[in-house]
Amino acid sequence: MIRSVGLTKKFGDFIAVDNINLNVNQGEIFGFLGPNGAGKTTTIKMLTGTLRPTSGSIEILGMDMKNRAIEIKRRIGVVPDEPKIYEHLKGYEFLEFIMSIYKLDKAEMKVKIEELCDAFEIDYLDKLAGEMSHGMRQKLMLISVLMRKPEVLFLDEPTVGLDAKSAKILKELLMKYAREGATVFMTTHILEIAEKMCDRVAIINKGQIIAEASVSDLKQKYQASLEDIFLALTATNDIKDIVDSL
Amino acid sequence: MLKDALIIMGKELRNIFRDKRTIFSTIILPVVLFPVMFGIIGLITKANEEAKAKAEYTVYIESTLSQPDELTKVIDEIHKVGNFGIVNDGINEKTIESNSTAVGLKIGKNGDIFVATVIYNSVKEKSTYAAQKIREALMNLNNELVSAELLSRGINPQELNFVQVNDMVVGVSAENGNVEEAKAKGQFTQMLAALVPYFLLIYIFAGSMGLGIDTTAGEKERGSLSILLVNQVSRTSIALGKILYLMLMSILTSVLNLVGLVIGLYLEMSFLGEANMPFSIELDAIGYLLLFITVILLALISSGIIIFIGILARSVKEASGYITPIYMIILLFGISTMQSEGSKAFYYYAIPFINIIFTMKDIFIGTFSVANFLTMLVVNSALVVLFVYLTAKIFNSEKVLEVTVE
Repeated sequence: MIRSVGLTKKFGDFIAVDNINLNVNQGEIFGFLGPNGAGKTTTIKMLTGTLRPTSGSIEILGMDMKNRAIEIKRRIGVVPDEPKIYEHLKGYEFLEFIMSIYKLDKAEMKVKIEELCDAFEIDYLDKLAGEMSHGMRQKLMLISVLMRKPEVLFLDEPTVGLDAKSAKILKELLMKYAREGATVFMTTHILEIAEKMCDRVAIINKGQIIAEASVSDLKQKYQASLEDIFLALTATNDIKDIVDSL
Repeated sequence: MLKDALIIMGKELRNIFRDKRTIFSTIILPVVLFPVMFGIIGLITKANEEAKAKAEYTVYIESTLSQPDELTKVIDEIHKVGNFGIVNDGINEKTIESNSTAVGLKIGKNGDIFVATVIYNSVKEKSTYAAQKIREALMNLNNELVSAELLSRGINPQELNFVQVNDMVVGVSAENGNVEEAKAKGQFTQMLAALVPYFLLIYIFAGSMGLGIDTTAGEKERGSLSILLVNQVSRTSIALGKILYLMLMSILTSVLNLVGLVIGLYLEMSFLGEANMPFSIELDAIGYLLLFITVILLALISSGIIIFIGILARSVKEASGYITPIYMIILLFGISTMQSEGSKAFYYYAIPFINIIFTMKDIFIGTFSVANFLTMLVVNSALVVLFVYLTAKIFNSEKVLEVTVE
């Protein structure tokens, strides 16, 4: 479903993403983990067509991103890390805007939206986006994607700003979608989420993938929790020293 | 692609009409500003004129006239033209310099001819007005003396007119062929031909600047451009949608500005006592259509330029920095051509913006030429297509869009 070969992104002399090979299968929930500045967001932006790679190839749903970007975007959904919704649009107007772009059946979507609003406790669709909190906009962004039930979902830190209940519902929903055949590619800082949800994870650091396996395989190999594995691999296991020195 | 562009345009319009400040500056202010401005100018001008007419002036006279009744004749004429007090004690230039209602008159005779010197302070408005009135009085005296002299020689002054001039106005219709009405209508059309292209040029461009920068560089700064980029709209559709939105808004603001301008001009003329000027222009349906096409083109080019520059810039501040010099150039075009008549040499119609000014003038004053209009149409249409193409290329360009990536 998601394939990249030799994916690289340079900004001048700085290599943000260095020769990444990814292979995410249908129905998988794939966690893309890494410390701040590792290249997670850059990678996800290349995979979703916002940024062009410096080199390498991307295939989503068997289609080359270089030549068939619009077709790909029709079938994928992207939830960015920052829900930058137009401030002067009301919640339902934003959803209508998305429906127009995707030429969706409004009656059908209305039912779906109502279900999702109930699930995520969204009762503010008549509010202007500019008046919503970060969490409220994040939920709105989520349902604008989930209502379409895309075949591939890209989520960049999807639980940031969500309350505990909404985060739990999102996790369960993503797992349900994956069971139904959707592919989920998500980045997260919350390793517990990755541990519980993801079939496989990749850890990226300084633009390079330093580990990629199923969570269970990683834990078996390193005989440690995912958090400890992550910290060990990203060379941040001197936390005690850091804390003691403060 | 067009359908997606219209969806983007619709979103932008909805965004705009929610913002109260934008509604005020885009819709209310243009209609209100000119009437208020010109109305105030008219009122102040009228008040000034009335104040000048009502003021009491002092004429300091230094006379070398030998006959007292000659000076009396001069003083009588002066009294007929205004509220003048006479001081026959000679002239103190310092008094005239400092006192705005003072004016001096040296009067003498050279043989049979009165020789007068009017002394006034040209920096002071009332002094200048008083001097003008004194001259008027002296000319009236001259006319009386001429008439009297002719009559004393048995000549009727009326019989000395050997040329009678009548006016006949063509190209301007008036009720019952009323010449004065036709003249006034022509004057009004001339005024519109001078002002309307200038104001439309300025206001379509200026009206688009803020909105255009906001929908491009502003959206980049806010990060909301990324929502469009991850969805299934082509970047060309995004570019076209934004240009169409800006074009629509610039036409709206320019029409509103135009309405405000015409109302403002009429108010000013009313206050200045020229409300009898016919408030109509000589333009048929085709003329209005041609004008409309020209305005659309102007809006499209302005929108194209602003969107192109806006999307190149990395921030609102940078975009303003790029667009302001272009605005200055356009201002210069408008000012330098304001007093020009239409129907210029062919090559003028190949220069963007200038060709629009002269085309509008041609339409107003009836010197329209199909060849010139088509040249203007082709040149400007090509420019619009070029800017849409370049903007779409920019939207597809990595370098510029990377700015939105945080």
